[in-house]
Amino acid sequence: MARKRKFSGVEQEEGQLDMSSMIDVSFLLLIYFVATSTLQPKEADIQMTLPTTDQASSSKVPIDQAKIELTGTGIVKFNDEVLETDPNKRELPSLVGRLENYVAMAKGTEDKNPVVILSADDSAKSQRFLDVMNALATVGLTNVTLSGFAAAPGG
Amino acid sequence: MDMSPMIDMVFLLLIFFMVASTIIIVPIDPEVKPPIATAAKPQEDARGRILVNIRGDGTITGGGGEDQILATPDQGMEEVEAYIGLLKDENDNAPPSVRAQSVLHVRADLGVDVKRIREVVEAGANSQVIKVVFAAFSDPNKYK
Repeated sequence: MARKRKFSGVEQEEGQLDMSSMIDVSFLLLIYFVATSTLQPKEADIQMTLPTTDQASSSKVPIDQAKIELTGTGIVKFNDEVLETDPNKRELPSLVGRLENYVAMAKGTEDKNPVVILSADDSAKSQRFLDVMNALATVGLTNVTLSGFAAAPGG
Repeated sequence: MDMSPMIDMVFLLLIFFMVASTIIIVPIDPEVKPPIATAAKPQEDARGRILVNIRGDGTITGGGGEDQILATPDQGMEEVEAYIGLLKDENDNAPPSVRAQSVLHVRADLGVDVKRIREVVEAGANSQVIKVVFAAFSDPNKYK
């Protein structure tokens, strides 16, 4: 018995010594991960689904497809009607309004996946393109056809 | 003996931040400045993403960032298409428990021409990747 007690006393002393270096290391790791995870800038998503040949045939009563045109200078047209001319303005309220009407109209029919055709000029800028995509995301439209190719093969 | 609850807490925090940081990090090209879109939603799922960066000058890089240049400004989409096809196959052949639908994650610089974006989306469509996600900042004052 006496021998056993002696051993357990020694073990306890060693255990306390080990712990402090472990705490040092874990604090270091903690601080490292706190710092790196907050430094990352947060990017968000704008989603878009390309229509497949499968989806195109499933819409029973196709409504008139909305057509958005983006010119190289940043002018936005909806069904050939000029809506926004200032390329430095991020919000496109009139386009959002037209798209809301379009979505409401699509809900009345059996077409559950209203599709928008977006024909953007090759020389238009990425930011302007995302402005239009942003307007589409605002009203919840994700099915977008980019002009230049009608449908993804297969699907 | 008093220290054990503190160590518990430290480990908990450590594990939390380790997990949180690995979920969010998608390897990005620091030279790309994504555009602003106020309706953009925070990333929910980073699985199945095929990252393609498009720099302001039209250079296209893959998930390897600066080291993985797929096309210089005057080059076509051959390498981009091969890269997307390869990752799509990898996603499709993953075990069912971790399999996710392939999503083309386009990080286009705000100043690049739409032509380049369309070419990349087209390259994805040729590999049957029909879900596309554009990276954007939802903060309208990001560059002010």
